[in-house]
Amino acid sequence: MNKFWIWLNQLGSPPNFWAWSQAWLRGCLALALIMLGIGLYGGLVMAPADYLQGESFRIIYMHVPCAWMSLFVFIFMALQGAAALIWRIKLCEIFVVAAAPTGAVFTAVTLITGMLWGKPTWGTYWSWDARLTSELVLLFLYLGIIALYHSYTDHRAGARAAAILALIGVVNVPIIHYSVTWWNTLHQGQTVSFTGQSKMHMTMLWPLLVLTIAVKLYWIAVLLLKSRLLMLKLERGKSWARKVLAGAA
Amino acid sequence: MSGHWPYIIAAYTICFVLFAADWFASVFELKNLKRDTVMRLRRDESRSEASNKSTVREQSSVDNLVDRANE
Repeated sequence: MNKFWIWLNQLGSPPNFWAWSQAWLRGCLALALIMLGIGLYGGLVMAPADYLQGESFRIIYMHVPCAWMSLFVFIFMALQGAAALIWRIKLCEIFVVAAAPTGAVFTAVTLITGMLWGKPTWGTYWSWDARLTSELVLLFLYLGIIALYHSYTDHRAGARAAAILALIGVVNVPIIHYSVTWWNTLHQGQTVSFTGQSKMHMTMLWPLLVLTIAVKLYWIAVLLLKSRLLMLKLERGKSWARKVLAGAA
Repeated sequence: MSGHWPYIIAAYTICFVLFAADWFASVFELKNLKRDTVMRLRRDESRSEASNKSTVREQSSVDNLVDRANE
């Protein structure tokens, strides 16, 4: 076993994870809140109104970062699930289970903010078009993963079942991403591009990028928080966890 | 265009309420877990103390009986 794998295994051991994750959690949360403040000020106050959509376009400052995160979290879960199934790493199993609720929140926020943007823009809250329907399927997949995990009394068996469902469900991610290209949808096509020219002016684009980073940092903080909680629950009987639980109260 | 603001306010309010609910659900669960564990540890400690005391008491009464028998 080379040094990298040894370092990675040590990093993932429960007492080590508990030790390093606290500082990362606080740092990410603090940075997320600062960037959230800057991004919201930029998006809600500084950015000019859209010449076609008017003020309602400001909803995208939360809708788009959450939509990106809903896909990103599912890919993360599938990768962690694969690692958990292949190498049986306990921390990867915990990450699969801990990431699902926040992924579901991001998907729900995407759908709700999309509906609230759709009403003044399209004249309807909902349309059964490919992008909206596939995003709704993603929400059901998240809820299915959470329900599947909780249906098991044994944590490891539940986490493995959740990992398998995450690996199957990840097929939906490219469908969501390319739905606006493959089908003629009511939902608009790609506006922001990281490889080519974006269709948004920089005065409107920068708050979106700041809020995207803020939401990602919030997700890292909440993932670490949930993972720490799950780890303590599972390791409650071990001496390190007892020390942490008894000492912190 | 000003008629759009209720939709914007509703969207951001729902978003932050869901984020906060997700965060604080875990924070409170962690606090409850810590409280339950501390209570269980204290209960275990008081039980073991009580069992130690009764063992000492039983031992001393046995010693007394042995002493009397010897006398």
